[in-house]
Amino acid sequence: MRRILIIDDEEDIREVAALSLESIAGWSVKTASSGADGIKAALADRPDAILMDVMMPAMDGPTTFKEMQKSPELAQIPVILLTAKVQGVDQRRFAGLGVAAVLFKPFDPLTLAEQMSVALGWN
Amino acid sequence: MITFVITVLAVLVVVLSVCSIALGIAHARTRQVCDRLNRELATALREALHQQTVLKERRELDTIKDEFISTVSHELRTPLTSIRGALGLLSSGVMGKLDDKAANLLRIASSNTDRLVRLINDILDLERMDSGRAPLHIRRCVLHELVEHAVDTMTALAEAGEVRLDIVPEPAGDPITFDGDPDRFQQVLCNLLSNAIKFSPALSSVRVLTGSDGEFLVLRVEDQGRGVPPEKIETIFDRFSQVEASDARQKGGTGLGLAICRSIITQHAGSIWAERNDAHGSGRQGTTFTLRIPRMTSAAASAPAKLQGRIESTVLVVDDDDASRRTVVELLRRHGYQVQEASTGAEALAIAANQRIDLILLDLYMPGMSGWQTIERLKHTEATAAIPVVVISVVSPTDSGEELPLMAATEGWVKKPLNEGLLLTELARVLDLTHGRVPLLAKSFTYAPSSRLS
Repeated sequence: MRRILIIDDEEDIREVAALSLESIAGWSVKTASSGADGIKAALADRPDAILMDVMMPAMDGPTTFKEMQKSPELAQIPVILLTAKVQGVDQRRFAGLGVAAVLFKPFDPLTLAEQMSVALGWN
Repeated sequence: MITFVITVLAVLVVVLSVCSIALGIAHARTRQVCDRLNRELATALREALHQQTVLKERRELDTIKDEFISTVSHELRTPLTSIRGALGLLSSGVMGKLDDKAANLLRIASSNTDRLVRLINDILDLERMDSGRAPLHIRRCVLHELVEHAVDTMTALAEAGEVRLDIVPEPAGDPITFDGDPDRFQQVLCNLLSNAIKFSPALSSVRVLTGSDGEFLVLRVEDQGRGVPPEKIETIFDRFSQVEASDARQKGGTGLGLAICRSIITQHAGSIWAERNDAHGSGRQGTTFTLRIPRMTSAAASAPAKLQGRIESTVLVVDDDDASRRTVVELLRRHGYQVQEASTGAEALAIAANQRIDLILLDLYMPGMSGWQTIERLKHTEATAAIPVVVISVVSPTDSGEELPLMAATEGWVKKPLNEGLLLTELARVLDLTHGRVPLLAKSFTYAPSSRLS
């Protein structure tokens, strides 16, 4: 069973995404509400993949990702960014970060797991 | 003797007087010239400063607009993510079975949420296209492949409405190809097909016809629906224009699909229009949408004309392969561009940060710092972030899994092996689109009258 960590400051989105991955794909999901908590959770649980929001207070998604890359334990875990920002000017900021994929909000809860699997080569 | 001396002195006085007068006149003229030069210099300085201020203000305004749209988009999408997610999970039945009435209410809520999402996407899409923030990624396309793909995509919708989708084969001969943005072109086809299907009665058919007309490709989507009333035929490409006020609600459209089609086709230098099938007295019901775009290989011929206004543009060509770089450099110089060269990413960064560069033409595969890394550094450096980058590469942006970030960080893409016409057209397009938005004067530019006048 795949183990996923969702990092998003919006509680509703955490809940919907977790329900979607658990009930549609049968994956095991843990959640964190900030970049800092996400890093702690990732160190504790070593998930198979991380689904992370881009815009979060304090430490945003790209910054959290960069922090994770500094840790040998976390650098190997693939990260998918989830963003509500679809403007080219925003996407430019994600360019070259080295994340596995960028998915857009609003996501389709019925195909979220499938999109992640494709991005991560899990099919 | 005395007479001779007096005569000589007199002559000398006269000569000196003449010289003095001449010098006075020359001095006055020199002063006049100096004064004129000073005035011209002051005017040039004022104009340059004014231009710099205007560009700065325009750029600041664009940044504010970008940030506003980005924020609005984010703020609208965030709650919609929760709503759509929750409704999607509930109506899928994975949370437990629902009775028919509850399922129907959820279906209504879900389809309207989807409509809202489409509306937001379309508004942003249109805004990006109209303001030049959604550049085309031009490459050679095979028309029938795109048509077949679009028809495949719309088959489910057609089956649901019991509408038959027919592709009328191209006239015999070589497959029709054209230079365009395949994704955007597909978007147009899907929009036209989706419209045609939605307004077609059950058991009717929608036909797609393709052909070429000299240097242009022509594509028609023909339906047997109720037809667009004559008084609406001119306005249906306008934003939020609907034949019937209730159409958006009943058909699930946003009222922006045809406006987006027109915007994309215009970007391809083409035209799109609608005609009633009975316009020529045929008595047939329905509407035909026709689009006509240049197949673009011929656009090379018009590219130099378009470039006239770009003569002041400086392009930085970055390629580690000397032969390839020289070819491009010579081509650009022939067409009036100022050109700078770099053979490594590091060299490119240094030039871009310190000189006036209007556009960077970048090879992706280079030893040391790759093109990809170069783009990243350019976009993350304040002095170079605004310079548009056009990639030249053997891969197209859709070939790799990195598609999204790569495409987002570039303003244009030209595939190798290089088609000269395509390259010139793409450069002209990117420069035209970014003209006035990206500063023509690099950020580090300071006014230096002496160097400008020399």
